[in-house]
Amino acid sequence: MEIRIVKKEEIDTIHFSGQFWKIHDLEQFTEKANELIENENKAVLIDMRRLSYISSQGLGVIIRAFLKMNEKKKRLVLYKPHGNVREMIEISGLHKLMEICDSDEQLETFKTHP
Amino acid sequence: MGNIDKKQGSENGRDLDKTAEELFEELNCLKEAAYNRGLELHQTKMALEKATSEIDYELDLARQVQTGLLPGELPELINVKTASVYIPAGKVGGDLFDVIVTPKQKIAVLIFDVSGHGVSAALIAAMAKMLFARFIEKYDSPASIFTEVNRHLCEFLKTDHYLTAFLGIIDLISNTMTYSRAGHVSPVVYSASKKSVKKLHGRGYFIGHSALKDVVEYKDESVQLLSGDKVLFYTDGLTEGSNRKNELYSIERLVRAVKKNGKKPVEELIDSILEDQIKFREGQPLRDDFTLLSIEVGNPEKLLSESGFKADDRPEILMARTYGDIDLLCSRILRGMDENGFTDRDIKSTKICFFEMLINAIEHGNLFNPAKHVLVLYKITIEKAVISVIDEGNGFDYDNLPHPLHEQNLLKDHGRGVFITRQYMDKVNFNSKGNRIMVTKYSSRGTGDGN
Repeated sequence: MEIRIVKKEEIDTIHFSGQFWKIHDLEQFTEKANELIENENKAVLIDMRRLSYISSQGLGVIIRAFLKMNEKKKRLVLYKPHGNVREMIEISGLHKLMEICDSDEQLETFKTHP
Repeated sequence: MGNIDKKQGSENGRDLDKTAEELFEELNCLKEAAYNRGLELHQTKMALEKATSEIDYELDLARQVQTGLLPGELPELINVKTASVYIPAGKVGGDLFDVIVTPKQKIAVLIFDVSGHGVSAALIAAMAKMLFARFIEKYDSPASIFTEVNRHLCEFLKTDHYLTAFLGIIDLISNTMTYSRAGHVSPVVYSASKKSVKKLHGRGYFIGHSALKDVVEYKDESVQLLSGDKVLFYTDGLTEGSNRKNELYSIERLVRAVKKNGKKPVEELIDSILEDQIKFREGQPLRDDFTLLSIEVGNPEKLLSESGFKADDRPEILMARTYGDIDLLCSRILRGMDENGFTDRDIKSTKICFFEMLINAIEHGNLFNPAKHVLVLYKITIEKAVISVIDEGNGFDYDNLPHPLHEQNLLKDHGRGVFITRQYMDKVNFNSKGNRIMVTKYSSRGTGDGN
């Protein structure tokens, strides 16, 4: 799976593309996320528009990143998870705990008030 | 010498002196010529030795390549044991064999023998091996596979070479072997229960001979094997081994030796046959490659009972060892569901659960050990998809899994796989040990359930 990072002012964005379950991808994400957590940012956005599948382990590493961000008083937001990915998040109850951004207006608000 | 006599006869003393000079010169010329010839001979000898050692080196390399084409360690397959011995007559030979797991998880046993010896036979054997592998991947019927291999070989074999072959494909659940015999020496079957030996017949032409191109016909036969039965495959290097009286070892002696040693485990059985043939030959050398391969079939009941299926269910089998296998296995199952009219929704849900089950089996069951297998047995009908995943681990306490939706577990970074599977699948159950999970998904079609 492809993971692309875009850094812009106070918000870093991680763009997912493809399926997120292979060990190598989980490790790569964890490494990059750890870097971003140490950065001078206020929030990290995970762009899930092109994410077609996530395993329960994939959710696990995102949760770990979320907890670390929380410790540093930063926000981790999931942007437009859809289909199976959305379902997985809801079935696991995570939509109640993690921030999900579904619309472009919400995104704008988020960007101006991270 | 004759010239000197002539000169002496016709001349006076002055000519004799000249003759001595001439003689010296001639002698010197001869010496020089001899020296030069000697030098040439030496150089030619060096060149020849160099060429021979180059050929030897090339043959050694060729032998290494050919060894690579033989199955290295025969796959440790669940339920089928294998053992083999291969002794080429020269550095390279025209015999090859293989044991391949087909895409439908049947066991294909192939043995073939290219006419002639040496480099040309070895080259053809390598080409044939590639062709066989390609069509075994594609077809279920040994006769069809032979037909295709023959067609392709005839296209580029311009010599008088041909090969004999035997291909048996064993179904692990029913223990039936479907086979075709293309002029090859008859394999023998040892019945564990009756302690008797029988030969496998079956008619079929040679493969690859361009003269036979348009008349060849191959037939599929089948034989029912029982748990513990052994099959021996070999080439004529075994049966045509001869002793000092020029008697051949022959299939009759082989049958006797198998009957005597058939109850031994396959490695010992092979060794006993080899010993018997060596003893028979009384020191006479092998004239042809010696190839001998034996398999022993296991008990499908054991395989089935662990899976939760019954023999009548006729489940299909898949095997995985690493994460790299998951995509392929999943696509087989999803395709089966598609062909049976399951909705996209059903298929996507099943994909999610299948991934979770395999990930768990490989990671928690087999601890990522690639030598261990995850066995997947499944049966898909219009009504339902039933999938069973078995790992080689010690199981786990599936009744006492922490509930992922409980507050203290919500943000745990693991423990959701089984929970998710239970949300999507209609039935989920484990064997008592905990190393096998079986799930059922009923088709939404026909139930009016649009979700």
